[in-house]
Amino acid sequence: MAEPEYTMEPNSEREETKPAPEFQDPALGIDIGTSHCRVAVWNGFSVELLKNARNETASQSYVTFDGETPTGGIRNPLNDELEIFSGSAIFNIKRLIGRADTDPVVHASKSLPYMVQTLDIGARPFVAALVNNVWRATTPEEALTILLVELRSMAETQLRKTVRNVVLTVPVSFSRFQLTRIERACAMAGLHVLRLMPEPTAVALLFAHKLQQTELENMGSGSEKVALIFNMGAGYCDVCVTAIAGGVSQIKGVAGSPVGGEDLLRNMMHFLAPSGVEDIKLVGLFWIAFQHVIHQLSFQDFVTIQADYGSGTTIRTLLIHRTRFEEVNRKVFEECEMLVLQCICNAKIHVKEITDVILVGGCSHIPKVRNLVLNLCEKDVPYPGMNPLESAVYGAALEGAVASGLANSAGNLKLLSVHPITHPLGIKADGHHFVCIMQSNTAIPSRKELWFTTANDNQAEALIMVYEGEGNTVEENHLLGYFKIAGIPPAQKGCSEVSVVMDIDASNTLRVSAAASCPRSRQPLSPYLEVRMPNVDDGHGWCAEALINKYGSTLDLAIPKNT
Amino acid sequence: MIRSANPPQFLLLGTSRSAPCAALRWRNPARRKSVAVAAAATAAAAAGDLYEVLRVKRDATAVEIKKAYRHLAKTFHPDVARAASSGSDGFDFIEIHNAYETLSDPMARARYDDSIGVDGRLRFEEAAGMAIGRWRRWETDQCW
Repeated sequence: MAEPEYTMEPNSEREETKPAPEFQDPALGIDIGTSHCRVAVWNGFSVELLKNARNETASQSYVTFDGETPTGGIRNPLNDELEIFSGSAIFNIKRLIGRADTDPVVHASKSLPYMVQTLDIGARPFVAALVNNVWRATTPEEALTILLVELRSMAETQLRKTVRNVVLTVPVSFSRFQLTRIERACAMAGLHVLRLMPEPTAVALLFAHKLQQTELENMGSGSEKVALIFNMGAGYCDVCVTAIAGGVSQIKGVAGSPVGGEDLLRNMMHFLAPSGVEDIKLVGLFWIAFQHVIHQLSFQDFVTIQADYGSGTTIRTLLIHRTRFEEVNRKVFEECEMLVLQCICNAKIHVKEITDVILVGGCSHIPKVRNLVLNLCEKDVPYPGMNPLESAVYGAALEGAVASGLANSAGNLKLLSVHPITHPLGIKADGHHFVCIMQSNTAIPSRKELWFTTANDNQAEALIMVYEGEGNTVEENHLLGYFKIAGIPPAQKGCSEVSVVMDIDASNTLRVSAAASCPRSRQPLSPYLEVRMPNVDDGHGWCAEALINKYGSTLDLAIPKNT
Repeated sequence: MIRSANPPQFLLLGTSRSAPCAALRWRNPARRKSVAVAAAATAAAAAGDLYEVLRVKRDATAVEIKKAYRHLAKTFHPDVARAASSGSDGFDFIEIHNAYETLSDPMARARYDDSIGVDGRLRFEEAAGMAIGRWRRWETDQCW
């Protein structure tokens, strides 16, 4: 993702040596949503939203199969919404990508009309679409690639030039492993990822841009704004707190969780058809009906629908009140509340310092969601000037221009986003403890070093197992990769020193290096071994188990006793 | 609380730089130059202090520090620095950000001010002695 070490991008070498390029194409901003995807680009003066063949700025994110060949919703939009829910289309890709089949989010996806098969062994789930009465298996990555290929060709047709560099928005809760799956899908689609940007930070950048424009118009004082951005879409809910002044958006804290509109839908489904619906066609019908209900409940107090429960004879009229809807989804709203509080806590600010609340995403229309966020932030109204559905892609396009080197003090784009890593990073030490090396709010780029010691006498080698996550033990966290360093001089346990360095560059690429060093002098004995993370593939849960089975604690590291 | 046991960050960076740089050097020749540049630039900073990194006075207010940080970020952040072809790989920015982290936190700033002398005069011997003698092994500035 970062510097192109291998030729993902043929122009990169020339770009680096060029003395201040006159004009460089800005990277494309892409927002792949759980339900819809959008593309935008900085045209030198403003952000331009690109349109699909149907002249729409948003295309539905799904993939269908026309016999052998898969096609996405951009090239081949279906006229009948029911067809998407007939089992023949793969959608909700974003909720499945990079997740193992033991993940609760994958299990929750089993109620979708297409097939999600899990064997609960920690490997990739099977995903299949019903094509001509045959279940055709594919992978979430492949489905995403198809969408990206179509978005790319759509952009190339409109811009009349080849597109290579992109900035994608991603949910805050995505692990680094999931990010690599997105990168891989992009690589398969012939795209080079400049940045993967958490969605609310993209919105923050757009906000910074808007503030800058109004400042220019009003000759404003340019005082600092502290905004809380709440983004709840179909698949994910993300929150961030940003401090903005002079076009610099400094992200103070982020929080995110895989809850969204899909969960509201599923809860409604479970509530109204508790015994479950077997027929795929009916699932589709219910899905559409409840989407409509949730949408309507944002504007009115109750909705009536006619439901047919399978047999074709019993048609029931259902009256759904908003209060009932809120009750059924209480857990989801509690989770939202918790995210906002957690984010404010991470940002180390007081609620009173928040000057603006920005609500975006498809679920930001829901009155309950609006109220709870505004109440927590002690505000009456949200910031009005944000399009709830398009702001993320606008922000991505702005970041695309900034990351392509178009932002400078001379031009008309003077923006910068300083954002932190979203999950703590550390290694396994002292048994099964997760020892944090980089905290979650560390600004990108960053470099941190920590010293460890051996856990056994005369231990010559050490296994560095890199984890990501909030848990205190490694089992709760996500294995990103592992490597072994050798050449530790023989000594009693607790005497040798091993340095572990974590390095994150501007494009959020993580490199972990380690070396043994002379006790006390801190001079490395051998060259540092540097590994780019993640370096595990699907089924990474097995790796950790296999390593423990093979080596036990013989290659363990420990936290040094304080001198 | 976390920072209490740590020496000021510039000392950490100064002493432990040899390690990560060695790791960097064989990775990317383009980075080598910039690390050298950064090292030269920050050598002065390490001998000087965090206030010099941010280019503010010792008695700067929190607002001034924030402003200075933003101003420097707009010059040294790798996103913009690349456009200005200053060859920065983010090392300068890390330095700037670390300085800001300490100085923007009133507690950490007070502790830091103590370590460099209340009257604002830098006591090299003491700072250096701290680096070697009372140095905890735990080296992150935020974790512990």
